[in-house]
Amino acid sequence: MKKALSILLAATMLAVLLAACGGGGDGGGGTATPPPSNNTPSGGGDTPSGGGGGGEEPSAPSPYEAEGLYWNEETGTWRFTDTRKISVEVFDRGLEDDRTKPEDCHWSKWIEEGVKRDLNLEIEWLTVPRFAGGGEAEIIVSMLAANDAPNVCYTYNHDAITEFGARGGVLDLIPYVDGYRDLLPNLWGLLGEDAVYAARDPEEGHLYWLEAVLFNNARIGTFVREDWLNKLGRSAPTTTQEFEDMLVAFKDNAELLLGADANMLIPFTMSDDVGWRANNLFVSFVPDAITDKELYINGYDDRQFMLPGYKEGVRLLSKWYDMGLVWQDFSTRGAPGETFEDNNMKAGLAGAFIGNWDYVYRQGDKSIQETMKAESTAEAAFIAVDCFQNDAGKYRKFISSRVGDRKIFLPYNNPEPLASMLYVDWVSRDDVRKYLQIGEEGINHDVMDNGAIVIKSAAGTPYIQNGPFNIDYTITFNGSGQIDAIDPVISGLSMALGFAPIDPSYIARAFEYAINDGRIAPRPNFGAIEAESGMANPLKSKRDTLLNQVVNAPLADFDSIWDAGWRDYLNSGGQDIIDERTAKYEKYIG
Amino acid sequence: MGDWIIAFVCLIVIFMCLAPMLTLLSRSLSDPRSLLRNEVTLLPKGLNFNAYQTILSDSMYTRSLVWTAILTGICMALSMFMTTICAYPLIYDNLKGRRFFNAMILFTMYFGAGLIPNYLLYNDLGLLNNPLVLIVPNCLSVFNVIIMRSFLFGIPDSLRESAEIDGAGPIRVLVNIYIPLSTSVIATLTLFYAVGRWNGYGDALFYMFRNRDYYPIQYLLYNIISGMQNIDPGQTDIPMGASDTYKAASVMFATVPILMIYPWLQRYFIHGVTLGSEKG
Repeated sequence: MKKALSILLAATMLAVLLAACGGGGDGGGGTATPPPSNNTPSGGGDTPSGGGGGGEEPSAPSPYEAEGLYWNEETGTWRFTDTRKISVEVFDRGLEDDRTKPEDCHWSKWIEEGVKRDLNLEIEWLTVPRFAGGGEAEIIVSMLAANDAPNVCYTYNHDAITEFGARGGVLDLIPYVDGYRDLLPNLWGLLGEDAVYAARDPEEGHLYWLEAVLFNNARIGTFVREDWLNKLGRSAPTTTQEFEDMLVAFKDNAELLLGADANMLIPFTMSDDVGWRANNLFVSFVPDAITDKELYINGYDDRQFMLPGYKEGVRLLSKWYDMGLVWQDFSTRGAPGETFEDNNMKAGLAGAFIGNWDYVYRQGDKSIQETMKAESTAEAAFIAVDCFQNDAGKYRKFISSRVGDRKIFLPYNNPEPLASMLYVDWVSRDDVRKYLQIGEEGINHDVMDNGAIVIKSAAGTPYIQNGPFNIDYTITFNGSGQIDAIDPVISGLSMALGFAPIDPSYIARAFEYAINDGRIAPRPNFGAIEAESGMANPLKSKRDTLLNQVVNAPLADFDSIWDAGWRDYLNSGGQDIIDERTAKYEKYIG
Repeated sequence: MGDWIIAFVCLIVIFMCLAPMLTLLSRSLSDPRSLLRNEVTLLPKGLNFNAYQTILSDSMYTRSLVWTAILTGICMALSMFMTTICAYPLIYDNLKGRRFFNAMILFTMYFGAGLIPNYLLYNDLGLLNNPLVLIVPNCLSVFNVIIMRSFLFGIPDSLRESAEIDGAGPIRVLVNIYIPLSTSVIATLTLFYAVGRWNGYGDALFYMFRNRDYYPIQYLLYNIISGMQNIDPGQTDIPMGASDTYKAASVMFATVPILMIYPWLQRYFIHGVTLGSEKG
């Protein structure tokens, strides 16, 4: 009997293993082929003869013959003699809201057709969930470990890519970007030297990733209710004091502004992401004379939390909170992802806020602005203002750098690094990028008489873009609300018109103010900063906790809470980052 | 007086448990305008069923719900079978290597491999993006094995011995003696497994993300919530004001079925307890 029991128990364990071994084969999904497009890149609608298969004979000796390439006169591209195959990462944002399968949709097929024709390259799309617990990097790191990563990868996670590089998980791109520079004219043309070499290690010279570029560097704007200003006979504030006076006026005239809902009026609304949602106010306290060196040394935090003077901005916000000018529930009900805070605006209860430069206008007819009009009064509108002056009288903001957003890399075991780089070059082409961004005329956009391009929703059609402006495919170029491969004036007009039915003047003003007196913090490449490794989340958490605590606390306790929190922040790794950044800056620049 | 205090405390605890569900329910049944004004608390305002109509007419939800129900059923049955046949031999004093087996089982409870080693293992086993990855790796919970083993220990050895004297082997003893006396623990563990499987989405997120046909309902919900927090310009027909209602309705839709299983299993808890006392 003992034997029988032992066998029974062992069998239990074996059963688990055997059942696991029995798995195999992907379920896979069915495919829905979108209608063919005749808008193929550079081919004018037709696939060149011979483009559908490999094995073409080169018409002339090729300087890249050893790499299996020949110059194809018809397509005007270097093309592989034999068909090559690579896998490419694409974000999966889910299929909700009429989205299509990113690996099998109009856009993926259009790219497949284009690279097959122009490069004789076949693409296998490998999806990665965009919203995995810790972001896409959490999945990619597993795939890298399992030799299962796509040949062309991208991530937004700087910490992760630094870690991948340090552990030898990615290829050094220098031999490709330098050695095959002539084969990558579109990549070099779009990124330029600054972006191509942005991530190059200053000592060892390796380049583990390419930084995608941004066209629009507007970040944060300040907005107030235009209709409330009109009702109160006030002009838009142009100084910090005027802004405060305006908030007081909103509060004091709640009955006039909201009638029966007067007790629900919120002069200034924000979320618990205080560093972002009061950024323009805070950075106006940073001395204008701050040097690039100081900006770099204290520039680790993306909300500028470590900059000198910041504390005084927080003190002023704390004072406003005590005066009842700030939404009293911002810490408890204003978490990102919660909609209570947006609802303050949509319901027409909030008088002012600081946030993304286009936040209330996004989605046009479904925007916060239009929802607010429908839910409160037809006159309701948020208008951008520029009022937080610094010590030099400038409306200083820190705007996004053109370089340093999405990171493109090739895993160390990529069997086709040159083909992968040619693919990256191909998606960097102007015509490819433009088509992916604006899609089909009449479906994804309309063209106005003045040439401006008005983006439309293609929801319910196969042409729907799963990410705004197809940013998941235009991997070397990122950011929505921007069309870069066209005349800059037309691009500006297009952007302003891209939020219909919102009057373009609101957009133009918001954009102008968001970049007015803007300064780009320097991002010199001194290689990896060891002290920053793994510190992003812990320090972010400490920053947010301190900002929430100190704004909520009585003003009398401000200094004691701030000083204790700041010490904790520095002791938890902040000081090490400052020290290492200082050492690196002095080593390379002085 | 003492009873009243106890009843009052119980009521407060019940209310604290129910309040989040009631809030969610009322949000899912309210009109978007009331939600915008943050007016909805425990009772719906502007009662309507639009969000549920939309969800029920969406085949993605219903398909995922049915699959999750099937998955939960399979996992429940398999997990209980595995738990029982793993726990049962461990109650025999004369089991050869019992301490070793105990230690080996306990070790896996305290030390997990982590995401990347698991990914590598499932990749080697061909389980990635295979529906089996939602079933096999979690078909046995060591914690539950220990609960089951402890319960089986509590059943008098004399019952087993008398059956053995009558010629019953270990399997017959298990089936005819132990299992009938263990309905309460079986019901409890079944509930643990069912709730765990129904609410689980981590395994789908990390190991099943390329096989949309077999997304469990909670992973679908995760995508919906994440997606609605990151709605892209011009890409959705859902009115902005309505997104809260849809989110609440989606959560209710995914939660209610598993809540309904509890009252059904409660019968067995009571039955099991009563049966034990009669035998005792």
